Amino acid sequence: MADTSQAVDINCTTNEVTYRDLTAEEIATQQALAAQYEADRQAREAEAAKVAELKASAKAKLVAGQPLTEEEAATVVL
Amino acid sequence: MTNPTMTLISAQTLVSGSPTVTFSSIPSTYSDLRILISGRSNASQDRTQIYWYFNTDSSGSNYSYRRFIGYDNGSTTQDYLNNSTPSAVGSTGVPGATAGTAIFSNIEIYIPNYTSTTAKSYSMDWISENNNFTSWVLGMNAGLWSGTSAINQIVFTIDGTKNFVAGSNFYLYGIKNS
Repeated sequence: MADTSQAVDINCTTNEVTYRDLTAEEIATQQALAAQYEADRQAREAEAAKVAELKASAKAKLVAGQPLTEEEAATVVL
Repeated sequence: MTNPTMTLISAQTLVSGSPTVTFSSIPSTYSDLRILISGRSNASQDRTQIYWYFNTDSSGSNYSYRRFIGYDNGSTTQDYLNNSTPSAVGSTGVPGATAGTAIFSNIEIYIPNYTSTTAKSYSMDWISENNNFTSWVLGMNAGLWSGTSAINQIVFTIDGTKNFVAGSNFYLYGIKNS
């Protein structure tokens, strides 16, 4: 069956199932949730990339016998 | 001593694509709620983000969670521990249209003491995969909703203009005397 893009509401007291179009408010909520999740995801990935970069830098400096910055040292497990 | 029971409150298999599935008017006569989902989306991707929230509260500031996830070989954040406080409602993933035919997600959510007048906790375990080693995600979440109303509605909605496909299953169970 083709997609209808209709919301499905299940009344758990009466077991009645209703199919209806999304309201403008529900569409706005969907968009807001997706936007927020994407912003959170990008922030997490940026933080992970930064930590990976600091670790690589710390490793290179340790091998070369150079002093680490405080941020680099914080990535080293002792 | 009364034996604990688990009662199927509602089971819904989608007969056509839908962007939102809502369990409403959930009876307050149980101790805990348990939800099982096998879902898939029509999005042109291996997996799609979905969101869920309690009652009508989709405000991310009222939710927080911690989670362990692992995903996709080669990712720089494989086996990632998220110990921050995301400003988002509950979220997880389901396979999309480019995942193998008939692959659906496994999602389980447990909500103890859902009629409490204080904040409600939940746990969730989930997986979305594609029958290969390069496109998969699995995770475990421990979350909190700060709402003080009893939970009488749970909304599952999908990213943007996409749909849960026909054949996606949503089960809601009530547990007594747990």
